Amino acid sequence: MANAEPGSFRDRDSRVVVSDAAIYRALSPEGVEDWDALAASPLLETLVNRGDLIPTKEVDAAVLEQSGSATGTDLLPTGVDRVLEHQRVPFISYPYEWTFSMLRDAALLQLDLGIAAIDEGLSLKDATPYNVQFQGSSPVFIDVGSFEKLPEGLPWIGYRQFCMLFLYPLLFQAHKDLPFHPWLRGSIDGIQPIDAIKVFSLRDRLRKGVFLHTSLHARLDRRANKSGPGDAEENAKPKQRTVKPEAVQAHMKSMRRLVEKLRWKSGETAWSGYRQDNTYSDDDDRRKQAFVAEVTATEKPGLTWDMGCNDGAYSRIAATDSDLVIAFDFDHATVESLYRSLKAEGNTKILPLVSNIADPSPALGWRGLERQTLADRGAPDLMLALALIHHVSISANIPVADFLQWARDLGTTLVIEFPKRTDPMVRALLANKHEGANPDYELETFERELERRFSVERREELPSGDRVLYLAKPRP
Amino acid sequence: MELFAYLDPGSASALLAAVLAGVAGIGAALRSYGKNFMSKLMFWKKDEPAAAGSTESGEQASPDQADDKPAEQ
Repeated sequence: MANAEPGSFRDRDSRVVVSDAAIYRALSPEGVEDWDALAASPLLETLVNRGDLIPTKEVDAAVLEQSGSATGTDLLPTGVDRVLEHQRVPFISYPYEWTFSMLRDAALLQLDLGIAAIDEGLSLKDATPYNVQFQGSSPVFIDVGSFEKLPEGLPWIGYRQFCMLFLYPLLFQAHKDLPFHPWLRGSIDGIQPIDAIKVFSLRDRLRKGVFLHTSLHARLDRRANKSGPGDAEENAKPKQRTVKPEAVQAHMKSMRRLVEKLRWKSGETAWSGYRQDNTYSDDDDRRKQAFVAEVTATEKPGLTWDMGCNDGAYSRIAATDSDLVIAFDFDHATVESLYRSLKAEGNTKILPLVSNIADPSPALGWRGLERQTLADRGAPDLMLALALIHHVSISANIPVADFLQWARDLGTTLVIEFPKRTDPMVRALLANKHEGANPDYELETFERELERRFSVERREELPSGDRVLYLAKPRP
Repeated sequence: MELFAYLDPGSASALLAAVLAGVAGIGAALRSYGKNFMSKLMFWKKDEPAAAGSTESGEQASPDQADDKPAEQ
């Protein structure tokens, strides 16, 4: 059964349809003209070969009807004239889960495509990071429907969207060390210029790009907001002034120079040196590595989630026998460091994401369907929860049984480590709590709740005697 | 300037984008003019033969320079 992708409705000339077998894109007659222009240019092949654009082919339009999807004007207002099929992205991620460098790389890809498109008489009709996905550490542009024939005389139409969804989040992180994730998660359209400017001090406004793209932008926005609807109509009327494509391209190139120079000095966090400074013994670490390697070699999971991945050491081991590993950690600096090293290696089997297990990405947007929850994007075959449950249970106060039920509901095989109350880290977490706090955090309770939901296939006490590892399969 | 995009570019943002494009366009033209001017001014640089294997500064010759070297018989 195929269904229109609920997050693909804004462009009336192109709509994504998702089936179990494939990802299709329906094009209106106007959308077909734009696709034909792209397909006729050398740009399509160049971008696909370079890995910058998702591989795409034309298919018989009857596939939509055969797969049970809506068709014709039920799908697009002017009807469906042609259907494309895209290569599937293994796991969809969103900008509020990316690190600074991931958002920056996505921004550079967006700009590079926009600049290259103009050379071929084409342009991109929008500029949103939701059109970019990551295959491991490589960004790829997925919205072929964004390409259109270059409209004559227009400025960069996606400029405002680029500022709101790419530039301001990057400026926040680079210049203010302000995490952009809550801003992007809080508004699907990004940060308004009049809100962005409030974050910057007078001194910040002297930094490159801040005055032009934020201060001036906000000032013009305020003036436009004060004017009435009559003025808005007047502004929209055709005027003599036109912008040359070379000038639009120069604008994008200037933005590219600005974005490329942005750097985030992430600095040290409590977690960035965790692996070197933690309380675990080397023997424990070696046993854990062997345990993960043995389990993944036997299970051969398609999708593995490594929750609380830290520097990604176990993600790397799991990646050997997994199709794809999603490495989650709530510490932005740690994931940023992991992304940079994966990118340097050209690793496409590990996707690092910033995510707090106690507050994972919710469903967002129109009808709460435009952006999906983490689990709705693909439950894992294997979940690694190593040195995690004590943070979830003691720091976030999530009951042990709740956490296990969540993992059970995902239907995943679980590799979980339980640090006992005697473990130095557990004692540190409990230090500021009253005597008897978190009473459910006991080995006996944990094992009982685990057995209720999973069948424990392997149990191994680590050499320190403070921690136990389990391999557990969900009970039917 | 007539706007027909599915995405509302915003009146203020479109105006700013047009101005920034104009400024960037002039900047790009000046840079290109400056480069041409400099290359004309330093016309003798173009005729300098590439040193075989290495440049005067001791750097490795680029592949382009290497291509200029006559093929050995």
